[in-house]
Amino acid sequence: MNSYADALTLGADLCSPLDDIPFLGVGLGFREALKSATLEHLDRIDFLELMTEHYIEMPPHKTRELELLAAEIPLVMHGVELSIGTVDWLDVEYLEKMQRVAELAHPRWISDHLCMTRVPERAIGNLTPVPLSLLNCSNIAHNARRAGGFFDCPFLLENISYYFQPPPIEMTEEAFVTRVLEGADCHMLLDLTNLCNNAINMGYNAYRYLDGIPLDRVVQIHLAGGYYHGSLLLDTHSHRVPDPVLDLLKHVLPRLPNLRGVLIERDQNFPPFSELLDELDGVRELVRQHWTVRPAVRRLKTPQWLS
Amino acid sequence: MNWVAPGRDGAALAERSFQSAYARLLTSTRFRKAVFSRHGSNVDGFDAQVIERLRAMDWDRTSFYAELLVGNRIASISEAFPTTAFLLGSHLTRLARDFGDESGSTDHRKYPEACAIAAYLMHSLETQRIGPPFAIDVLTYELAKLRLRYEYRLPLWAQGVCHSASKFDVAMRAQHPVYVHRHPYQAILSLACDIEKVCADVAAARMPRKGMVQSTMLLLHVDDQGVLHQEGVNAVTAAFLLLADGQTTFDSMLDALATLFAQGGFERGAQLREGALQLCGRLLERGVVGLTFDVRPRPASAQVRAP
Repeated sequence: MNSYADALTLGADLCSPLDDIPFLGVGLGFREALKSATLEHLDRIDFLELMTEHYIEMPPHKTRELELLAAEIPLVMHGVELSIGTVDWLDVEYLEKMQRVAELAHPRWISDHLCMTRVPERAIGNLTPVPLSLLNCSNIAHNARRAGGFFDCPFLLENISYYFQPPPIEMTEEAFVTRVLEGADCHMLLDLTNLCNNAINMGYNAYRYLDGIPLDRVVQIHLAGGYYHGSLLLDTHSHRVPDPVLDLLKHVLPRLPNLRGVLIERDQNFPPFSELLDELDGVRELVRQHWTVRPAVRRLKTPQWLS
Repeated sequence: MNWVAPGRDGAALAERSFQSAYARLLTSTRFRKAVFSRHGSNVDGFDAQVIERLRAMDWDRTSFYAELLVGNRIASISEAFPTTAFLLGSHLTRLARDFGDESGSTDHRKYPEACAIAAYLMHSLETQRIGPPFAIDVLTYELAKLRLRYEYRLPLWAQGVCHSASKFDVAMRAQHPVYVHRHPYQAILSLACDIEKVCADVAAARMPRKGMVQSTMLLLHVDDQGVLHQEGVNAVTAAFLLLADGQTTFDSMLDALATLFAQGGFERGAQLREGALQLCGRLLERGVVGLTFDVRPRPASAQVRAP
């Protein structure tokens, strides 16, 4: 395990546009079903994550909503349809639409998933794993580098949840992720729930996975809860963040020198909003206990609860 | 769509072919069965190598994932077209699967995919005996509402279009040519069922009576806040709105109305004019039409002489 000092050194070497980005704190995914409650309690949410697709080519009232949100609270953009893993392609038109959303949202960073969601003639409709091959590594790194060039803010790729791996499997997932991030020189959105689910569903060690990826590139963490369907743990964002995921969070926090935000995702089976707020508070407490803000980042605006 | 191809060597082309087949495997039940039935080495034009790679995948988990995607599609249909989905009942799952077997969608974002699915459902309703006879009308209605909500843009009206009843009055008295413009984001639907009753029944989880036949004309329009308005209209109002193209003068519209409704006892005279003036005034008040005027001095021959 890298020491915190090692991590700081690694972090300092990263030539990234993270320098001006403060630690945002603990945020929540902005969802239509939670909209009014979210807006009522912005004082207890450090930042919001918008689904990019909800604002692409949207009618004017959504544009107004975006402008109002951007004026009220720090935003980050999170997409699901870039399909960066599709071989030989990058949807430039789509990236330009993302750019237009970013011009209004002023996101601190933009993320999408390390996967494919479509080929030109067909949408798959979900985040789908690509073969862990060298060819896919170089393709995704190329696409991610190019996609990142479209934005003035950092571009992050997120590890997905999956239930099978298409062949060939030429390397471990952590080696694949590392090659992509380094090849693209981009950052990572580390979804600890996806990691935990995959470890259970695919039978590997989540802690070993964390040892194998460049943690200095992790800028954001996602947390969520799913449920079991038979022996499979589903990634449904429908339940509280479970303890094994929080254990992973506690374990990894001290090793994340460039962390800028932790976020809870909830997409269905919505509880009373007070429960979500309590959950955010719980995660804040873990961050306070297990993570130390770097001096360079502390100079920027830091959430009061961390001071 | 604007794609960038970084390289097209043999390996990348082979991977593209694999990804196309992989996307079909996950979204088409028919293709998946053909692949996993292990009859023949080529399936639907994909070569033996690609098919072998697909066959090396975990059948159970791949099929489970594919069923999750069908479930997602059903959820999308139910969200975009809730009443139609209810009326389709047990046919819905089959249609959601068949959609994947046929073309599928190329864009999974909510609105584009809803439009693609609606086109498929409409075709299915027209060619198969499924659902009650008014299901087509219900889908037409729900699609029109969806389109208006997503497609309206600001400003709603072209520059110079006026909504002042008093200016209308003045222009008519001065005998200036008046051009009536219908709302740019509206739909006039002629339906063969009592759509409000159907929707109310479905909202109460009751299957509407099959014999529910009632000719209904509906006007839908969206305001500048994105709120959708709906009202029943009669045939004359619908015709008036259809004639209100912004190019035809009010007087010419009266001529057309008199012709259209000649059999209904309409005569081109003071009574029709007065009725149309009142109708236009009411539509102006509700923001359903706008006006432009030609206030240039009229040629002397066209001036109306004082008695």
